[in-house]
Amino acid sequence: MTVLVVGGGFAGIAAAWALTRRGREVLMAWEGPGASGLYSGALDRVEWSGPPDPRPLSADAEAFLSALGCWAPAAGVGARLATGAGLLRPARCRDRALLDLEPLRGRRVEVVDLGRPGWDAAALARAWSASGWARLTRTEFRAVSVSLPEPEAVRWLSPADLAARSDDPAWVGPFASALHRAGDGESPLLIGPWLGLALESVDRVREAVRRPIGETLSEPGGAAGLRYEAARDAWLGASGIRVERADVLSLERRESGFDVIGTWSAQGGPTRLSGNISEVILALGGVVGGGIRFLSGSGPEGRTFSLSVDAPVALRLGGREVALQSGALGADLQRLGLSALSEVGLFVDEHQLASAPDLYAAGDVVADRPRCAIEAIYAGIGAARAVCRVRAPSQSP
Amino acid sequence: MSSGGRSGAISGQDRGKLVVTGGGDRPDVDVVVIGGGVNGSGVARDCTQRGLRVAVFERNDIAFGASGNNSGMIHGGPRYLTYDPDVTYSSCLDSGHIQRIAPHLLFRIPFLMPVHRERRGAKIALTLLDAFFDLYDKYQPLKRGKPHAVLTAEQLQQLEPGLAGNTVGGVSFDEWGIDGVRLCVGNLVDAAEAGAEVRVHTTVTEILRREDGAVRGVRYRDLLTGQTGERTAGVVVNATGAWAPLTAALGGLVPEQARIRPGKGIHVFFDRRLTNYAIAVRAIDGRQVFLEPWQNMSVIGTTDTDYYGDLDDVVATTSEVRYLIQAVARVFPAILEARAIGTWAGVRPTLYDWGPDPDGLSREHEVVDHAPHGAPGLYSMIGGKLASYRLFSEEMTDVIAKRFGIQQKSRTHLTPLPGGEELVDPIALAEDAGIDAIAGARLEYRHGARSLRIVERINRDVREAAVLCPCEPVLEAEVRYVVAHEWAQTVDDVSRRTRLGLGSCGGMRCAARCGAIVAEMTGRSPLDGQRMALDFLETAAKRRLSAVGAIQARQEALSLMAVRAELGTARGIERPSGDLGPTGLGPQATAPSEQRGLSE
Repeated sequence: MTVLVVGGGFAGIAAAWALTRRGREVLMAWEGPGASGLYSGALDRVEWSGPPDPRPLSADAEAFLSALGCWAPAAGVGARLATGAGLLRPARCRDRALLDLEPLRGRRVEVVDLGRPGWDAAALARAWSASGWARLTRTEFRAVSVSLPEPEAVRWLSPADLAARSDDPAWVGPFASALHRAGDGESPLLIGPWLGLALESVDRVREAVRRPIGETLSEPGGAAGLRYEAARDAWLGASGIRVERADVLSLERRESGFDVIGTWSAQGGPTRLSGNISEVILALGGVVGGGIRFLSGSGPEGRTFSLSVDAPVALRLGGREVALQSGALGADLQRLGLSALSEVGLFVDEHQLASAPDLYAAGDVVADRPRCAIEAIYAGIGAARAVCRVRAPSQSP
Repeated sequence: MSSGGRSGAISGQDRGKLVVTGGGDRPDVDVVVIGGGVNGSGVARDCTQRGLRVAVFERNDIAFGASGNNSGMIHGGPRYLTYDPDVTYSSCLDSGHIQRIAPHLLFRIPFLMPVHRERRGAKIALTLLDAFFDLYDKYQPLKRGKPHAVLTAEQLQQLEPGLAGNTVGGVSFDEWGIDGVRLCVGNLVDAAEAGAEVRVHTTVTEILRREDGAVRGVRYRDLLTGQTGERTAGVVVNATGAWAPLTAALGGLVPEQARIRPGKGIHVFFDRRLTNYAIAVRAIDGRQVFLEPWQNMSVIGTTDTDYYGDLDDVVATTSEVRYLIQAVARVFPAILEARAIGTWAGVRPTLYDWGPDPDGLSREHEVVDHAPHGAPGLYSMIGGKLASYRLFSEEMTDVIAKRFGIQQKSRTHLTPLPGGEELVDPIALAEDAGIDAIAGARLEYRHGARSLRIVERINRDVREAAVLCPCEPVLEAEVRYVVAHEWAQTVDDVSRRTRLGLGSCGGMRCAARCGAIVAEMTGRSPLDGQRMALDFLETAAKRRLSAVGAIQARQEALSLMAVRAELGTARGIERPSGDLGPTGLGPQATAPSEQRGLSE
C-alpha cells in the first residue's frame, strides 16, 4: 500500500523522507512551487523576531536536513544572517550558500560591491555595522569593490540570473579570481544571493575564491528557493520515489483506501486514481502555496476559505471552525484581518491526523502553528511517524 | 546630501531669510498656514509671491487628507451646472490656469456617459443630456476642453468594447486628470524657494492669542522628534480641510465657528488601465459614479457619506468598495475580474448645510474671518475643491494682503509651478539618464522640468538609476530627491510623492530598501528604517484589505511571508526594549538605542 503525499515543500518532502526511511512506498504529487520554493534561505522553528527557541533539533530533523544536502548543519546557537535590507537576523539553520556570521564574531567582513544598482554595498555595510549584534560582537562590515572583466554584462542581470551564471565554468574562473583579490584578500566576503543556483556551482565558486564567502538572504523567487528545489529534485531522483506533477482535486475514502481524483501530468482531464492509496498526507501549503483558497466572490459554497482539495476536513481560524461567510457579496477580509491569510488551516491532533481516518496534514496547511520551515519539517516527519504507527519520543513533535 | 529635511524646514531657515527677533514687536513670520493640503499650500505660495513671510505646519504629510485622496481630476464640475453655475465657471477657468502653470501634471480624461434603454424615456434623457452638455461646452474653452459629442450605441461600443448593457447611445465630454499630491508639493516647493518655512509631521498644539484676543502665532510639536517651538505671526490661516473645526478649537474657538460637513469619499484602484475612456455610470441608488483611467492604473469612485470617525485614519470599508464595484459592473462587467490593488479614502470639507443629501451640497468655498468670534487675525478656509484651489487661495490671500496693506494682485495663475517652466521630452530624458523609457515618462510626469535635476543625480552616480519600485517604476534617484527637496521623512511620505509601493506588489520589494535610504538620509538608525518600512507595509495592507479578491489574497500572503523573512514582524520590531529582538542582541544584552550621523 502506498502513502500519497500532496505537496513538495518542506513538510511534504520531510514526510516522504521519513516514510521511505521506514520502508513505506510513497507517491508524491504537486502542482507548482509554494512557500518553500520562495523562501529566503533561513530556516526557523519559531518566528525569528520573537524570543528564540532553545530546544535542540530532534535527531530525525537533523538527519533530514543533512540528507537533502542544501542546508548547513544546525550549529548550537544557530546562525546569524545578513538581509538585503541591512539587518542581521538570527536563524536556526540556513542554506549552505549563506554566510553565517556567528563564527566570524569580531572579524572584519568585506561586502562585495559589483556596481550593481539596488545593491548599495557601502550603505549596507554601514547598516550592518550599526546593528546591535555587530556592535556587541565588534564585527565590522566594509564595502570592497570587485572589478569584473565585463562589469556591464552582469550589472543589470536579475539576482537569480546572475546566480545562474555560476553554472558556467567559463564564468566561474574570472569571477572567483576577482573575488579572491578583492579588498584585503583574506577577510570573509559577504555577497548578494548570486553564488549559484545549484549547490555544486556554489561549491565550485567557493573553492576557487579560496577565502570564506557567503550570501545574504534571498528575496522571494531568488537563489535559495531555487537551490532547495534543485536539491529536492536530486534527492527524489536518487530515492526512486514516484513523483507526479498533478493538481489533486479530490480525495474520497473507500473501504480499501483512498480514491484520488486529479489532473495527472500524463493524461489530459481529471482522472481517478484508485486502488492502493492507504493514507494521505496533505502538505499542500497555506494560502501562499495555494493549498488554501480565499473565496471572495458570492460563490455557491458560501465559505470564506476552502481547501484546494475536496476532502472530508474542516478549516479553522483562531481556534474556531471557519464559519460561513455572512457578507452579501462574499467574505470580508477587512474584518478577518490580514493575519487570517497566514493563520487559517486544518485542525490536526498531536499525530497530525486531520479529523478523518488515515488523512494527515503537515506544514502551512495546518492551523495555529508558526509558519516556519523547521516547524513544517517537524510536522512532515510527525505525520510520517503517525502513518507508520511510530510513537514519537517524549519531547519531540 | 543637503540638510536632508530632518527638521522639515529646508529653504526658509537655510536661507536665513527668517529672522527670529528677540524682543521687538516684529513677529517671526507674517502668516502661519496650518495645513499642507491644496488650500494651505496654495495660500502659502500666493502669500510668498506677494512678499509675505510664511511658515506652514502640516500635522501628517503634504496632501495627507482629501487633497491626496480624491478623484484626481480638476474637473469643471458639470454637476453644479444646474444649481450653481458659478462653481462650474470658476472651476473651468481655474482648470485652464492650472494647465498653464503646471502643464506636466495634467492629462486629458475623455468621459463617456452611456444612457441605458431600460430607463423610461431613455431617448428623451439622451436629448436632455445633449442639451445639458451644449451648455457645458460653453465653459470648455476655458480649460482647453473639447466639445461633447452624441454617440450611438454602436459608437460607444467601438470606443470601449468592454461596455455592456442595452443603451440608446450616450455622450462624451472632456475633463483633466491631475495628481493632487504633486500639485500640493509643487505649491509648497515654490513657496519654500521664495523663503517660506515648511514643516511636515509637525502639529500645531495651540493657536496663541494676545490678551485682546488677536492671534499672535502658534505653538507646535514635531511628531517625529518631539521637538516643540513657537512661531509668532500676525495672521494664522486654518487650512486644515476636514480638520478645520478641530484646528479652530486650538485657538480657543468653539468648533462650530469653523463648521464643515465631513463627507467621506472612497476610491478603488486597479493594477492597470482597464479602459481608454472614463465611464460615468449611475449606481443602484441613482448616484453618479465613474471608472477612469488615471496615470498608469484605473480608478473607480466615489462615495459620499457623512463621516465622524478618526480623520488621521480614514479607511475604505469592504462595503463601500463593493457598492462601487457593483455600480461599475453594470456597464463594465470586466471590473468583477479585474485586480483591485488598493483603495484610498478622504474626507471632503463641505460647507455646512443642514438637510440636503451630501451629493447635493455645493463644493463652493468660503473664507471665515474669526474677528467676529473675538479672534482677529485668524481665518478659516472652509470647503473648496481641487479644481478651484488656486482661486480659493487667491481669495484668502487677498484678505490677508489687505490686512498687511499690500496692493499687489495674485500672480499665481501666471507664474509656473516648479517643473512647469518648460516641457521636457521624456524619451530624450530616459536616453540621457540611461533609464527605461517608461521610468523616464513617469519621472517627467511627476517632476516636469525638475526631472532634469533628478537625472543629474544619476549622471553623478549611476547607481541611483536603480529601479527601487519596479511596479511604478520609481528610481532610487527620485527617492533621494524627494527626501532632500520635498520634505519626505518616512517611506509613506516617499510613496505619496512618487507612488512607490502602491503598485501590484504592494511595496514588498521596495519598502525595506526605501526605509534604509530615508533613514540614512535623515540621520536615523537603520532600525528606524526598518520600522518605517513595516509601518508603511502595514498601512498599505490595511488600505488594500477591503478590496482584496481571491487571487490577491495569495499574493498578500506571499508578501506577508517575504516581509517576515526580511523584516520580522512588527511586534518583534516594536518591542519596548528597543533594538534587542530584531537586531538579535539576545534578551540579556543592552544596546545604545539611537544611531546618529549616518548621513552621506
